[in-house]
Amino acid sequence: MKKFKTLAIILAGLFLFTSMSDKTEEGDKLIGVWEPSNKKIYLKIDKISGKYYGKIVWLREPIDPVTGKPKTDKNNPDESLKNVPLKGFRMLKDFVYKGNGEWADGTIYDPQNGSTYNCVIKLRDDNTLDIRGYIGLKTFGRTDVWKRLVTKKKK
Amino acid sequence: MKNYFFKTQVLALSVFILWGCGKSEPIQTDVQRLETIAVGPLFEGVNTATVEFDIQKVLPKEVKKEQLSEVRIKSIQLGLADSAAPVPNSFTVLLASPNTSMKECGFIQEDSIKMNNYNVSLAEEQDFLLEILQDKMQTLVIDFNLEGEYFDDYAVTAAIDWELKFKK
Repeated sequence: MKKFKTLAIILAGLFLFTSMSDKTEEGDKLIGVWEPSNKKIYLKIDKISGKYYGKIVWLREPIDPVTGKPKTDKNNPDESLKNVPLKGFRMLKDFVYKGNGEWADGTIYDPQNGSTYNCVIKLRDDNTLDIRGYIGLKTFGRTDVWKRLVTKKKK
Repeated sequence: MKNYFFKTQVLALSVFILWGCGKSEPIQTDVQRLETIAVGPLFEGVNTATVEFDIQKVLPKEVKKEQLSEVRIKSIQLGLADSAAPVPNSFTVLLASPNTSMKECGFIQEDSIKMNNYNVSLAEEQDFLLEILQDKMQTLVIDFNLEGEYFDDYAVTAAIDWELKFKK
């Protein structure tokens, strides 16, 4: 009887570990380089301490035509951060995988107006994301479709 | 009349106790030295080095991080652990914790790096720090922009000078 109990505990632990690692693997599908529908930037999503973050890694127009220097986050509401380089800026922050191809609890920053919105990310397929930014209720928001940058294989 | 004096004394004593409880005291700490690591190989563009730490280890034994009442960063000095490693164009320094949002603490621009100045230009707004430091652990994140590839691990050191106050 005691052996049976021990075996049951080991099996339960193994099941829990397997389901947790499956969830981690599913969540990591978000990791990669993505292109928003406006095609102005590429964002690289990575994982830091269990949460997902996205930073700008490429800009179609990296130079500010006014200053002739690399673009900075000139619309940042904090005056002291207006010179932070836009290349590398973390637009997506703090996303947690919730299961069923959905990441939530995060925010998206719009460098064009310096505003931060609540955001939910939904995986439509392996290479397509629905990014919904909203204030307050999810109903009052806007969804953008992002595509994964896939390396073309040589024939 | 006697009753009036008694009530006034009780009130004065209460105000004094409340004032005493609310007073923050500064904490003397050494500059915190951390080493963030980006696991190689690294590619051209923006890469990320991170390290997890617990601010409790910096505090005196009698002070718990939950007692912190005011937090500011006085300065952050960055450095490259390997002098042979390529020098980035820019750095952005961020802090995060499991139950708070990641925030920008400051940055270093290309012009400063060219002048060998690795002092971080700090964010004016630092109110978010208290919540981050009181969380169970903290993560220091340093994003840096490389011009070329680097096939090894990349270490960026950070010396953080904290200004901390706590309530007894």
